[in-house]
Amino acid sequence: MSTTRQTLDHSALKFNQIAIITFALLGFILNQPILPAFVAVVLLAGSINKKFALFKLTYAYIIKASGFLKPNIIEDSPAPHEFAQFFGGTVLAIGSIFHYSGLALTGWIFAWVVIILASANLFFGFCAGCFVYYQLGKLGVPGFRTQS
Amino acid sequence: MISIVMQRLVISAIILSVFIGSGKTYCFYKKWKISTHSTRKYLQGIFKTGKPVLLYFWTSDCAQCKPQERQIEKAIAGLRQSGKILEVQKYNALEELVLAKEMQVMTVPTTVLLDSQGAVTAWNAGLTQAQKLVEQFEIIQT
Repeated sequence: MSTTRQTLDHSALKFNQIAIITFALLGFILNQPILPAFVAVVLLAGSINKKFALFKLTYAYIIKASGFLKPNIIEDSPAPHEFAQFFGGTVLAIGSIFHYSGLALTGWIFAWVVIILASANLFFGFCAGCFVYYQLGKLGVPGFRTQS
Repeated sequence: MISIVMQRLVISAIILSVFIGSGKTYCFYKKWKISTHSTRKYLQGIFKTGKPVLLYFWTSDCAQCKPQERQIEKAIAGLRQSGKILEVQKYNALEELVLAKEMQVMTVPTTVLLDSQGAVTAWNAGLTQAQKLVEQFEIIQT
């Protein structure tokens, strides 16, 4: 059995989640929809190219370098985390569209969905993408049920 | 302006507190439900080892299951060094639906640690590091 072993720095993931929650929450508290919109841009740009993943770059060059957070490198697949980043960015982008279309409440609900999902991952280690994937597989939705 | 900020701050604090509180309660409830439900009776027919067992639920398309297996291997190796044996039973969560339901599996990987009596002592949803598995095992050994 030859499989490629990939590693991930879980401190970088935690910092990413903290940054998402902080900016989105500050946006809500200060009533500044530009902040969730900024997070959406950062997440979507980071999904397209890792060079643009601003929060992860901040972690690598400032947080880790200053010793504020210690690296926690463990073997893990980046796929669910990249999916989560893309999903979070998309939800925030849709929320921002609602916001700038005059539907502020709907926009903030979308922002809160991301805050809650990021908090679930940060505080409970709960991966929403993995949950959805398994539940759809259990229901027999085509494309989500594979044979072992 | 300040009053609006304060209002939103309070709303945020309430939402997050309720969410974290209900999340913790839910995890506790899950563990309690598995422990007190018919599970123990159900499990007695399956697990007759009389030793602690780690149930590991996986699926073939689960991205974090391979890393989880290696974390389990690491935990087993670590415990073996101190003369302890952790038995692991691996179940495909999409094929063993009855057991997965009994064990409240909502995502994969999920690991459930049973003590020698078949009672659930730990329930982990998502990728769980070897260190945590070892700590959970050590608790039931003491």
